[in-house]
Amino acid sequence: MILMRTQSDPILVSMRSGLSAWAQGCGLLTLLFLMLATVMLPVRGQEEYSRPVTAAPQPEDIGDSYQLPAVQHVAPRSTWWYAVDVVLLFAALVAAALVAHRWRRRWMVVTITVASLAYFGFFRQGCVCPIGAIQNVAAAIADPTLAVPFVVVLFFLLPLIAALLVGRVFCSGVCPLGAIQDLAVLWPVQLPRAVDRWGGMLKYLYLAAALWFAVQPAGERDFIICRFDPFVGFFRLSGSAWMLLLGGGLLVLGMFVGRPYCRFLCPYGGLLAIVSRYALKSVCITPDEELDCGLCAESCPFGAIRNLRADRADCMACARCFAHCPRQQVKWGEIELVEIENTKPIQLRTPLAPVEAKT
Amino acid sequence: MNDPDRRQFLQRTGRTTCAVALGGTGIVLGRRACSEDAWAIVPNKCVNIRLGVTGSEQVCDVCATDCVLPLSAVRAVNDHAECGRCCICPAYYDVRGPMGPDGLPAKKLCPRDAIVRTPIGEVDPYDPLNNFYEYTIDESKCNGCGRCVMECKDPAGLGSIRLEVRYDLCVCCNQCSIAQHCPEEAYCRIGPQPAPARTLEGGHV
Amino acid sequence: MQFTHSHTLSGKGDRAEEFHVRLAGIATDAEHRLYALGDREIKRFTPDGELEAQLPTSDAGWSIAVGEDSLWVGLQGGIEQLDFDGKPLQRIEDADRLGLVTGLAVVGETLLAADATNRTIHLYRSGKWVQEVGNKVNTRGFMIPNGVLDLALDADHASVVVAHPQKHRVERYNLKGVLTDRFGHFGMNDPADFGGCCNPTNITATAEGMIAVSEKAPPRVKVFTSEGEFLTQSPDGVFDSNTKNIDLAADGHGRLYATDPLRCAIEVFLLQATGH
Repeated sequence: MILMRTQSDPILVSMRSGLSAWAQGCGLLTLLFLMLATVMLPVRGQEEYSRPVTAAPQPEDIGDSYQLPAVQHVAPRSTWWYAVDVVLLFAALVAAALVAHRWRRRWMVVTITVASLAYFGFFRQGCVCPIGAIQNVAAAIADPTLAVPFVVVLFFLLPLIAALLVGRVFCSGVCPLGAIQDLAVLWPVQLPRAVDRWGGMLKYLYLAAALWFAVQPAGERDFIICRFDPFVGFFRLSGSAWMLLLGGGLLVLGMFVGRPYCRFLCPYGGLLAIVSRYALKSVCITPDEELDCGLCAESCPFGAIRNLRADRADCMACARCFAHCPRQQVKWGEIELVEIENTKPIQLRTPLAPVEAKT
Repeated sequence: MNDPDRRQFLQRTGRTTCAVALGGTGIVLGRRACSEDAWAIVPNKCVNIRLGVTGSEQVCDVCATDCVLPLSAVRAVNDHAECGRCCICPAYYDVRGPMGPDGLPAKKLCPRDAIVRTPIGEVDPYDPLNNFYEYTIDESKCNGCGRCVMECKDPAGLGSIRLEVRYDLCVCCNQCSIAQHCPEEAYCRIGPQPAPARTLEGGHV
Repeated sequence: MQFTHSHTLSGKGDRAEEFHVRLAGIATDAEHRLYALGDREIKRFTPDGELEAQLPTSDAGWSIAVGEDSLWVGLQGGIEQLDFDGKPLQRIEDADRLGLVTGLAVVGETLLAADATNRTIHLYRSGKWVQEVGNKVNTRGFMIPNGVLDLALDADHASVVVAHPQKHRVERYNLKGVLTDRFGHFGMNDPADFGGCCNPTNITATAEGMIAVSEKAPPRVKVFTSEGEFLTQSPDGVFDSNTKNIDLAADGHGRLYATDPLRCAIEVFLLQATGH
C-alpha cells in the first residue's frame, strides 16, 4: 500500500504562489540592479611605470641596422577571459538547475561535474572560486581601499542567487572542489544523524574564522580558506606535501563518507545552506506528487534526505535520489503501473518492502 | 505542529532578507569592482623598484623565494628602449667585486647567471668601452630576485630593468604568497586604488 | 687640499632667488659673479650670493657659458647669445646638426657645444660651424647613458676637457679637436677612479688649473690636478642622494659651485690649498 499525499488545499496553494511570486519579483529586481551595478561600473586601474629616458641609445645610434628586440612583457589575462569564466559559471548553474528541477538525470550532473572539474579545476587551476571569494568580499567590505575584481564579486554572488532561487545547484557539480569529491564517492555509508548535525556545525566555525582573518587590517589579513584549500594542489599539480596529503586523505575518506569537505568544512557550503533554506524552489525527489514511500532514503550519500524529503539546506542537488523514486521510474518508462483487479490503489509490479512512513 | 501560515511567513521573510543581503553586497562591491583580476607590483612601493633604496645588498627577494611556483612568476624585464647599453653595466657585473685583467669586473652580479650580454651594432673589437651591449634576461633562469633592478635603478643606472609579474606563469592565487610576505604591500591586486602613477615618485624628469 | 661646504644658494620655491621647476646649469664670469640657468631665465648672483638680476631666456635652456662680453645659452637645436642685461644678441640655429646642447664653452670667437642628442661636440667659430671634436677617437660618439654631455675650457684657454661618462674618464682636446690627454678609469673602491655605469657626469676647470668633476650615485664632486692626479672629494651628505648631473662652476676666489638639480639648489664649496 502506498500512501499518497497531495499538496495543501487549492486556496493555500494559490496564496503561497502569490507570496513567492512577490518575493521572487522583489529579489529578482534587487539582483538585476546589482548585476547592472557590477557590470556597468568596472574601473580599469593599472599602475603604469614609465621612465622619461631620452638618453638611452636608440637603433640609429647603435648602427649596423640593429633592431630593438621585443620587450619580454606579458600582459595580464584579458578581461574577456574573466567574462568567459563568469558566463561559464552562469551557464553551468543554469544547466545544474535545469537538471535538478526538470531533466533529473544523474548522467547530466556527472557531465557538468567532469566539465567543471576540467575547466574551473584543472584549466583555471582553482582560482578564483566562490569559496575563497567569501574572504575577498569580506575584506573588501571591511577595507574600502581594497581592489575587488568584478569576477570575484560575481563568483561570490551567482551561486548564492542560484541557491535562493533553486537550491544548492552550485554544489551539485559546478564547484570544482565538490566535483573532485563527488567523483570519489564509491561506497558511501550513512552516518549517524548526530555526526551529520554536529559535524555540519564545523563549517560555520570555519566560516567565522575565515571572516575574522579576512577583515583584519592589510598587514595581518590572511585568507585561511585558500591557504588550507585541500584540493587546489591537485588542480595545479603542485603544492606542499602536507596539503596534498590532506587532500588525498579527504578523497580517500570521501570514498566512504560522501563529500566530507562540503558537508563538514566548506564555509561557502554554510552560506549556501542558510540561503537555500529559503529557496524559492527546492529539490523534490519525486517528479510530481510527493510520496512517503521512503525508497529513496538510502540513496543519498550525504545524509540529506530527512523525513523522506530532500533537506532544503543540505541537499546538494546531485540527482542520485531521482533514479530511486518509483514515480520517476514510471515516468521514464523503466517500470510500468499495472492495475490489480479489485483493488483501487495503484501498485507496482516490482515487489516492495513495506516502509513505515512518517508524517 | 507546523502552522502553514507561520512557516510561509518565515520563508518569505528569510528569502527577502537573503535577497536584500545579496543585493546589498552586490551594490556595495559592484560600485568599486575593477574589470581585471591580476596581481601586480606597485613600482612606487616595491623597495627594489622605487627610488631611494639602492645597492644590491639591500635587495628584497621575497618575490623570488615566496611564490608557490617552483620558479617564481615574478621576473626581471629589461626594457631595451630605455637601456643605456653600458659597457660596465652594474646590473650585469658585480662592480664592487674584484677587477679582471681586461679592466672589467671579474664577476657577474646575477646569482643565477640569467643576464645575457651581446655586443651590438658595428662592434669595435679592440675597445670594449666603445661598444654598445644588449642585455637580455633569460626567462628560464631568472627568478625575480631583483638584484639587477636595484643596481640599474635611477640615479645609479637608468632604471630600464624592472620586476614584473609574468602573467603567462602567474596562477593568480587568491591568497598570493608573495603578497602575504611583501614587506611594503607593493604586491597588490590590480584595482582602482591607488590612482595610476606615470613615473616613479621623486624621479628625474 | 681642503674642500669644505660653505653654504647653499637658491632652492625650489617661489621666492625670487629660487627656481620653480628645474635648475639646468651654472657658470661664473670674470668678476666672479654666478649665473644660474633654470626654468626660463638666468639668475645672476653676486660673489656674496645676493640675487642681482633675473634675465629671461627665449626658451628652456640646458647649459650656460660666459664669454668676455656676453652670455651663451645652449638650447634644444640652437645656441643663444645674450648680453649681460639679458638682451638677445644672436642665435645660432643649427637644428640639422645640433640636438640638445648640455654643455658650452667659449673662448674668444670659438664656441664649443656639447650635443647630448648626437653625442658629439660641435666647434663653432664666429657663429659658423667648423668641425666636430672627438669623433675620431670616439667612433660611436660620446657614450652618455646619463643623458648629459659636459665640457669645460681649461685654465690655459687652449684646451677643452670633456667628461666621458661611460668610458669612465676625462678627455682633453685642443681647439683643433685633437685628443691630447685622458685620465681616469673604472673602479668602485678607490676615490680616484670613477664608479657605476657612467661617471663622471659634469666637469669644470678652476683658475688654478685644477679639474673638478661630479659623479652620481653617490653624488659627489672630485678634484684632480690638470694631469689627472686625484686631490680631494666633496664631504658627504651635501647633495640629495638621488641627484645626478651636478653642474659645476668655479670662480677665481677658490669657490666651487655645484648644482643639486633635484633640489634646485646651488651648493657653494671652498677649495683651499692646505697650509695657507
